[in-house]
Amino acid sequence: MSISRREFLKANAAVAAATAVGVTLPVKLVEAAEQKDDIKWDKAPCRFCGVGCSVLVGTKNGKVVATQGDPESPVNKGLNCIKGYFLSKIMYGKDRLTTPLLRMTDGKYDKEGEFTPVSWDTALDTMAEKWKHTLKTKGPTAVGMFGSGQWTIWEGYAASKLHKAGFLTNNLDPNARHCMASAVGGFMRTFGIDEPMGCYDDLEAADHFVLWGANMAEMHPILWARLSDRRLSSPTSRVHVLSTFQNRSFDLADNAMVFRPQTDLVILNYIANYIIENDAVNKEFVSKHTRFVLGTTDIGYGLRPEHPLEQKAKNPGKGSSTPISFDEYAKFVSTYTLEYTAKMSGVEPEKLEEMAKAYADPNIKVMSLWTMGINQHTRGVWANNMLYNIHLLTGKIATPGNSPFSLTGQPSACGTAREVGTFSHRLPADMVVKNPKHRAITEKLWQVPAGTIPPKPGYHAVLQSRMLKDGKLNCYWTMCTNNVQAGANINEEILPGFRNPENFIVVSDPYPTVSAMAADLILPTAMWVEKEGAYGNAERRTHMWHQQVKPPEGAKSDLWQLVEFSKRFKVSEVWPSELIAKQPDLADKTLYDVLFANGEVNKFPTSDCKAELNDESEAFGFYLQKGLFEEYAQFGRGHAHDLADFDTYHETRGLRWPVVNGKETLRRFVEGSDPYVKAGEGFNFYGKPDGKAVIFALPYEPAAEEPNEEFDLWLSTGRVLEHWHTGSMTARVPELHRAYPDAQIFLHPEDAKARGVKRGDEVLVTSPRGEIKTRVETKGRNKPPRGVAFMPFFDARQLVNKLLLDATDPLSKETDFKKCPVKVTKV
Amino acid sequence: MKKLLTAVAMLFMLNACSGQQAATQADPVNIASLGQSEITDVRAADVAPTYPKRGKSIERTFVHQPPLIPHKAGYPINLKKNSCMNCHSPAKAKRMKATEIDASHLLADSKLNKHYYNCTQCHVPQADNKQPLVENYFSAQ
Repeated sequence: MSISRREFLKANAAVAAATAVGVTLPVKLVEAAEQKDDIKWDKAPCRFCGVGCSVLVGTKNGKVVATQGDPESPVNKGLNCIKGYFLSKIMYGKDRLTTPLLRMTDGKYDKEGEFTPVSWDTALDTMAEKWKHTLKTKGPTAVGMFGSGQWTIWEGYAASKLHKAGFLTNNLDPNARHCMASAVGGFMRTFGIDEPMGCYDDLEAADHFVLWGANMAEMHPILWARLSDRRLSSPTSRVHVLSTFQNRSFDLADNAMVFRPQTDLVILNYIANYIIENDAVNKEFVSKHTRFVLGTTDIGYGLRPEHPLEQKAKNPGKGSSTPISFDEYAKFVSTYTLEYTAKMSGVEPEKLEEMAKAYADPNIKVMSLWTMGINQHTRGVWANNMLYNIHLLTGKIATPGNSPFSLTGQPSACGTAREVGTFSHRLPADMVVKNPKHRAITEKLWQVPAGTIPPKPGYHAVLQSRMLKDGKLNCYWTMCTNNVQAGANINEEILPGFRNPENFIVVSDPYPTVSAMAADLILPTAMWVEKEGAYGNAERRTHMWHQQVKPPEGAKSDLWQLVEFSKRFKVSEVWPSELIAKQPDLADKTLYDVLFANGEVNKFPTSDCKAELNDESEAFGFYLQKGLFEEYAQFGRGHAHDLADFDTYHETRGLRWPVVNGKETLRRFVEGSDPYVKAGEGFNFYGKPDGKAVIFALPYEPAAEEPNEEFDLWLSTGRVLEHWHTGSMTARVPELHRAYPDAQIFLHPEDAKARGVKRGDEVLVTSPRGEIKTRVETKGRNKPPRGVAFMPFFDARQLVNKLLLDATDPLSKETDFKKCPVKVTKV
Repeated sequence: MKKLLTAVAMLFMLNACSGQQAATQADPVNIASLGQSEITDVRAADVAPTYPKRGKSIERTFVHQPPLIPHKAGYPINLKKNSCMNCHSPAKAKRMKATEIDASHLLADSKLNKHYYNCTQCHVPQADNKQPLVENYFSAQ
């Protein structure tokens, strides 16, 4: 697709006009806008979830005046969900931040002072002073950053360079740790390479769909629309839905299963057992393309080492495994009988069997879909491994409609957090800091001396909070995320670190979030189409957008902030002399010179940018985004992570990597689709040295905590359709707020009655870690069984995640937000 | 010595262009999160939202905005039925005095395109006892 930008825009405008809807309604404004026809349309990925819909953004007089689904997009085919339609309003909340705000008393920084407007220079100089002091007195492990799966690719890449090669710390982690880390762990352990082998096209090719704890109807609505279309248009299509409570996705379920929390592990092994017992193993596939291992068990709950649960665990944090035979695996899962599974899970045996039959039947193409139910799980990596087990045993993988599909939460959890490697243990293209070869490759491409990148993984998200509280992490910058509302155990583990007098906390955000209010310095941030960006969605699709409007005066993009900050550090101020000795000419240079004006990142002129606006290029004097992208793309090209050249992405609706010879890859690991699989191989799981995917024998292990006499309900927290994460954007859109104004606690009517409350009553929800007040909902979109409660976390007035324990999967370090014992009492 | 001079010069330059004078004179500002309370507070729950039984169609605020639902919207949409169609299908809308489903949502045979089956993923009701938490400056003009 090589059309000029002008042609592209013209085509879009024509399409936009042709798809106008709703002319029967009162549309005075709409008609006025259309008559004038002076709206300029350009494409951008949606700002919200990991589906990665494309939207057309209408601008006029420097403002966004409309947004609509992009008919040219292969992802959403012209449709948006309600959040996507209202993107037009997310940038225009009255309380947009327009100046840096520093806590001050009498004109000086004071941790207990009041937020006072300061210039950008004062803000960044104050930061630099704090960072330098901390680096000098406590070393690189005392500074760190919490980033985002909503960062653009180059923002993540710039942050990664600044920390790993600039400040010499791996204390960089994205909020994707809270959502996709277990999925990454699952991919790496089973396949040795991250991200799904299949793609969204499988939604139209599959016969049966199995939702493992994912409520796609609300959280991935556009994919749900495609799935619904398939189910309702194909006579043989069926939908199986598993969850710990009934939700909107159950409305289209043929086979609806509510299971007891944590027993998904039992059900997964039951299906494997069923496949083996009913002779449904695809023997040829299994013998050629897989091998079996026994995983280490009793691995703890990722809590602080002194926690009794960690003390009790035999192998805390261990992810090792030993090879076993197929027969040993078969024996391992043989105890997961239908009877045992039905008893443990509470699911009717005939429903379990119906699902198992679908997986076992070689003539039924099955697509499994999951997100936070599986990932936010103290055995999340295991659960991911066990899902792949089922598809590998049957060979139902990487072919049209046979697709184990890990759905993504955030718009660029894949593109930025995972592919760029902004995790505390990762480098670009699936490389890791502890591997000396990977560090060497990275150091070479970054043109920094050998030994620059520290080999020890940094603090991951949850550990960052703990280390802030303990005073070991002292300079902390969070961007594009709101952890004081989203993270678990706010009162005991997050807020104390933000307010620790030893620490200096910086929060970059467009709006005054809960996190911003807990910071010492707030940086006002440009968002979405106020900057040029690139995201990578759940199906490996990299897509880009141009800056389309100016941000409010005073707000600057995360990218500008990162790069501008780097100018304030001389190499000699932050690197030890031994490292400088390897390349003495760097001593007097700034980190900006070394990392960004390095001959690669600054090699494209601003004139290469086809957009009218690009504030960052203007500020730094070169096409910064292109330079960062092209330097970054070198990591993956030729290594099964190939990206196309930069300009291609601006001209298309994105491409799924690997992009080899200009062609995207729909399905990986399979001959004929994946250019990395040779003719005659059939399948090649080349992420592993032997080309074989790994089937894991892993058991059921209980949740960290279970309801007891006092805290007698399981609480799960999560999202709703109308709001994105902590609501910092969506709750400022009047229509979205009025559609879903307040969080409520969803309860079974009998559970409400037993506590003397009814629908609409105010209740106190308590855990050992805190309490919140909310209202009871017994008839809404979620219908929990007895003993289970659900509450969304978008509402800044009800910080429900403060109730949760910060227990994590010990392998992925991802928090379990789904299984917290609480008590509900009448107010 | 040269290094030192450069450092001093840089410091001077940073100070000169930092605008610190203006900043130190600024007054503190009053900002608040949407919570409008201290993070550690346990805030009383707001009144439960109510949605009107019926209402007139709500004027759209920008081109291509999906129409909002002017009434409560708990009607079942499931494998057996799509209750929205009871009033909004082209065959019934006029009689039910309801807004007709837009032609873009229909197949050639005037049946609902199943891609659009889940009406409430794009169309949402509006609580009649709630006001925006913060004003929004969006304008379609």
